[in-house]
Amino acid sequence: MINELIGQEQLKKRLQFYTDSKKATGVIPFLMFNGAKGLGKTEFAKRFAKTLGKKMIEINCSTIRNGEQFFEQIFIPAILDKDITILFDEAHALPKDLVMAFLTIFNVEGAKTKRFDFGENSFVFDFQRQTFMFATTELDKLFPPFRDRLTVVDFVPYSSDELGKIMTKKISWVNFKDNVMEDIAFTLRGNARSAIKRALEVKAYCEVNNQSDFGRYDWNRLCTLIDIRPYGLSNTEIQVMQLLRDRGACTLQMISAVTGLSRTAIQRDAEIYLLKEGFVKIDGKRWITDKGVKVLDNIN
Amino acid sequence: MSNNKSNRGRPKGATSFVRVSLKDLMQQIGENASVVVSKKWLESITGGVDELPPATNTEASQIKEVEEPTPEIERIQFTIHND
Repeated sequence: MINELIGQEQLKKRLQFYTDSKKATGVIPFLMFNGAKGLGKTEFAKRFAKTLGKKMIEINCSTIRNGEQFFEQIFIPAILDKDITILFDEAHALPKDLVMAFLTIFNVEGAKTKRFDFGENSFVFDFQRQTFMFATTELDKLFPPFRDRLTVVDFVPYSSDELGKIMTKKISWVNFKDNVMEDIAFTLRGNARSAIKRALEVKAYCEVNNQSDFGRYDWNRLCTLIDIRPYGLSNTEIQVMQLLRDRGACTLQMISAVTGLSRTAIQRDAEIYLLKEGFVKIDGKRWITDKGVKVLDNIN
Repeated sequence: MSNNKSNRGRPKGATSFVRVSLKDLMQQIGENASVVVSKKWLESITGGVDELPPATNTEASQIKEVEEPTPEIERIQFTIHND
């Protein structure tokens, strides 16, 4: 079932190992899926739960206010005495008192069950029946002792070839011509969710134009219609690059003042990808590279 | 102007109010007695008052019961995947 998914080959091997070892040990380690958004953490968790033959409850941790609320609304009605897989999504947003409870609950040292007293109640966690998994985009924000109790499984960006396969699988009736898939994959930034979204855009384009072939002419037209930039650059990233080209080296403060974006937003939303692709460099100040200038020339 | 500031104003920690149970108070003064309460406290439990109730022993002096709105329960967002 997991093997039906495209990419993340190393991760698939690990999950297969845990599935096989469950037959001997009876339990699955407390897994923490770590990776950027759009890499398929939830989809892999769903397939893994299916492999284990259990339904899965996916909880958005940012909506949990405290431990009491979790035990009342989730644990008692949906987990206690049930065979189920639980995925805590955005685990870095778990409330502090629940993290403290989890420190005790997940400190099992080989035990297959754990009794935990919370308030006036006592709850039994049966790890042979219940599989606990977590997912986050911000592993560094997790309380270190809690992180130590989990088995971290890393997701990696998808290759162009894998992104092409994801798109083709989604819209198998579209005939991609002129090796256009390479150009499309180039704009997806290694992100599977972006590949699915792009597939739906291509599907809409083909349906509107009543065609099943999609070549370079169509791709260029689609890029113009819905503003797809080379390398999948966002407007903010282009704005930062243009600023560095026009004004030379700038401080983060200067970029913030000109763009009107906060320093954190620039660092988080623009600089990471620009640095990764080698379009800018930081040497005290921010500079645009020759590669960055060439990309901008193509856009203009 | 006096330089002896330590003798001015209310001593630190001193308060004008004491806490007493309603049951004990009623044993002392009876249920029809008129009592003076903090305007802020009265506003907090009645949702607003323009002036102090008249100091009489009539029923009109009794505070009107106000039904407090039930606080909305915050729900955890979750999805169950059966497939």
